[in-house]
Amino acid sequence: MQKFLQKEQLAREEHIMYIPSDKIFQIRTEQGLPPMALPTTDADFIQNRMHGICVGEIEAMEGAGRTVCDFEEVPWEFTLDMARQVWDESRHTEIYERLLRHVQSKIGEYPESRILWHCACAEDPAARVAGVNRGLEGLACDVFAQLIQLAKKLGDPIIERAVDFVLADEITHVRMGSIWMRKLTEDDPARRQMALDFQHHIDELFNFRGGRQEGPADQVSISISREARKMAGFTDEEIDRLVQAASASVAY
Amino acid sequence: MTEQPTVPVEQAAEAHARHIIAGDRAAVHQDCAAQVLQEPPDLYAQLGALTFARYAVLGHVRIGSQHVFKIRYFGTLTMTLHHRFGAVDGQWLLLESERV
Repeated sequence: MQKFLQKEQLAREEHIMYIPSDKIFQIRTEQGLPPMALPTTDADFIQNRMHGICVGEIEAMEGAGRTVCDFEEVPWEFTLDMARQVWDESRHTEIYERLLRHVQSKIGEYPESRILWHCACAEDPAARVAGVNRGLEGLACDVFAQLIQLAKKLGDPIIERAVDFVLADEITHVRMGSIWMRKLTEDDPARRQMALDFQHHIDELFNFRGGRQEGPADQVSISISREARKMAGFTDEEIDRLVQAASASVAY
Repeated sequence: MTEQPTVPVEQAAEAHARHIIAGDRAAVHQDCAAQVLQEPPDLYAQLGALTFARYAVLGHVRIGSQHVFKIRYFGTLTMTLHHRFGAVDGQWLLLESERV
């Protein structure tokens, strides 16, 4: 089996259309819309967001699966944890596919940017878990906490509860990633720094040019969730750094 | 506010695909907005030089109020394009075509 798939090698059914995120941002901006969908500007915000999460879950499943396949010189428990994550992400994919139907949408109705998959292409296992489990799953904590708040506001207990179940898993994925990033880089501060640098790069990508920021769930594209991030084990210092980087991203 | 077209966007996309298959340059031109983006820049010149027997609509996504279709053209050469349509003065017009 081929190891270390390149970014362009992700296979999809024909009806799922890949359009890079920069291109999506450009098309939206041409229409006078913010780069990312907002509850205040997009009538189909819930469908659009749900679709982004669903394809993100597929990519996260594939990313964790590739980690099982790509790295042999790692502790067996690491491989086992990644396999467990594949199982979790496959359940999440099913949950979101059904939630898409619940909001009268379906896979393929919006483009897939594959930005999450790109984060799963790091060649060092410590960087891979830093990017996927801390960067990507950290983003999931923000997005899911926001979706739960919006669902409460909409009075939709199906979305609220289903997303809460998924969020509980994502929190464990972040914690698992933090443990493995530290363990794999024990006695190697340079390698740990490289993993953290990779995570910061991923965090910057996920700031979506200012799309992620602190703010009310129904006012911003992605609201940073301090509560969910703290449950996931991010320190106050790490969250503050993310908030600062996100606001710098707005200026950019 | 932009006037919304009365015909479904799917109809406009399929009509454009049929015009390409028929090699009807005038109709293809009429489907397009004044400044249609092409990637590669001479895409429609390339299409004009080819013969296609049929097409298949593979995908259709929404971005804001615009729509992107993934259409595969089968002929001497098989080519897959993304066509982006937007509402202009009550009509669905082609804004961009890109070979993928």
